[in-house]
Amino acid sequence: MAALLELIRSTLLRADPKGIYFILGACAAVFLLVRGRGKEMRALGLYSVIAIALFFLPPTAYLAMKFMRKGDVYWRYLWLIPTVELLAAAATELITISSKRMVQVLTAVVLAAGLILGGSNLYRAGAFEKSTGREKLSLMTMQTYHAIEDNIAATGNTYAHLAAPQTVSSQLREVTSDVTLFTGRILNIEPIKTYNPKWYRNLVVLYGAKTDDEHKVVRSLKKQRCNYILMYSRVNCDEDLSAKGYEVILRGEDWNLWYNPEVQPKAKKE
Amino acid sequence: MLQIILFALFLTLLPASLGYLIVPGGEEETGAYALPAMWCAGFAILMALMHWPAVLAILLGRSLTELTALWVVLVMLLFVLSVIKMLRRRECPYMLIGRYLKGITFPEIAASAAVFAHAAVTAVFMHIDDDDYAFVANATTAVDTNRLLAVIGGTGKALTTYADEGIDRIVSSPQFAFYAAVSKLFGTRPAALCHTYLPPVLTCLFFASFFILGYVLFKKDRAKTGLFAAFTFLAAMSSYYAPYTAGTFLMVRSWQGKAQVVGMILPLLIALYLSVVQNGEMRGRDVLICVVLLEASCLLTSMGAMLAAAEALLLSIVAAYMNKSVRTVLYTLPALLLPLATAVLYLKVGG
Repeated sequence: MAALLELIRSTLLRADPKGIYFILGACAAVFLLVRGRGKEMRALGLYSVIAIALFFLPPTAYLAMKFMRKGDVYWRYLWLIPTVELLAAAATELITISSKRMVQVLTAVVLAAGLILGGSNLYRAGAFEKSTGREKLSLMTMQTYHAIEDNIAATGNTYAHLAAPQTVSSQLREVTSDVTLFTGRILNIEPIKTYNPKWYRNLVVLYGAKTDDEHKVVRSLKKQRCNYILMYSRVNCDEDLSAKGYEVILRGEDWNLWYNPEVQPKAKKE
Repeated sequence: MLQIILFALFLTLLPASLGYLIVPGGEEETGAYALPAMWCAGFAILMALMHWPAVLAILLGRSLTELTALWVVLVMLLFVLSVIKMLRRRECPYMLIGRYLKGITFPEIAASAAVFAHAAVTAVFMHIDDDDYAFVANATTAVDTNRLLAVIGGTGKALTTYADEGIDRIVSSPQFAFYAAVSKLFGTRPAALCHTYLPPVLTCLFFASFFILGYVLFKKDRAKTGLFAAFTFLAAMSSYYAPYTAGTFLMVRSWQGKAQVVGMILPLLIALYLSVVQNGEMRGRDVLICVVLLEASCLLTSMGAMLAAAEALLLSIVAAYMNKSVRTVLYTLPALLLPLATAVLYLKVGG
């Protein structure tokens, strides 16, 4: 029971770290239920209050978590609580309580300010950035894509198996299916039992920080038949890569794309 | 140029025509928001029509071409029915735009301006999200190979079981197939479709759903509807305190299935059941709209199917209580069979 309650609490904090919008939404739900004008308003309030209660009630929380990857995505339950709609409905009700225009405008301004200050503005928080093109993928991904496509056209070698950091490996296949990836999104990699766990951990670490096992990783990547390897410049791998027959085909801002024409796919059994 | 025109029609007139089949256009029933309601319903129909054909195409190993052809045939059938209905009733639902514009209020104009401005932002600027690994990569692979889930879209490696890398939930809720089919039809790349062409349209779709909800909530008072829509925009815009909020999804990641459930399906379900509370009973047309919305959610995301079904059930109980009639719940239960079937499929495929 304690573990369940802790999971509920941590889910709420994960979805709303400060809890402001959740509390405001809950207050709005109660307000609409008790003081909402019209049965539609009270119905919305009643539905929301029930949904909030079910979120916290251990039996229903337990049941819901069973269907939500054992609670890992229990925060999605919170979408059943229409917080945005509740806040908007309550604000509209409050604004239109008075028939005087000046009071309505003042109330609207105060409530709008409250919503903006109580939350986090997506424009200021950097939700959007300058576009790299219609595909809207990272510059690193697009540069890698074009470099590999150009290399395929130039060499005639259509085999392209790339090992790259998550920035590229989670995006490249959105723009082309000509390249297979050694790892996709790191979270979704094949079960660890497929590889030596230590080696795999080094690979993941390699793309995020320095490690002393770079030569082991490079050797392993060649063994895994990666003929393209994208490596950050800060990782001290150049000698290992050159020794294994890789050459740089593209130099990025702080990374290099390496290619080894001798690495071929595994021959298919007849 | 022709493809651009057809694509524009696909995003506007076609959904409105399909929605005309199930949304009443009468002044008394849907009032000024008849056309937006038809447009939203039409999009839900387009998605709903893709779900089971895509699931079957994946399980039977059919090609993207075959799936797209089947989907187009289904859509065209409904479009023809819509045209027949228009001719018989001598109605043109597109002209309902006049009813909407006549009597438009300042709050509606202000809210709409904010929505259009944000739609432009989504078209011009970018937000990169790693979840696209599942949506867009699978669509791109389907377009390039003309096969559905033949390989793991995110890596290109051979697919051994559907439980690989969470593919099982993509089989039961193959939203990528919708994007693949649309990309194939109009000769665009899925990444460009999802990240540039669709986001502004989806933004308008989401806020059309909020406008419709406001219109029902405030009993057709258009000034209050506009005020409600403006505050939903403000609240959604300020919801970026966590990546998991509904506001974050619908404002920033609109092309993902979860965003469409949160931004369109769930608000429209609320609007539907609040109108049931208003009318005192659930009519046949309401049941049909509920089925369409739930079936669309089944395509969009496996979690969305369960959430939408749970919301519909809870709303039906609330509506039944408010109307003192258990019939609302009884009429809703059959509509839950499709999400239930999707859930069973998901469990079966996942093993």
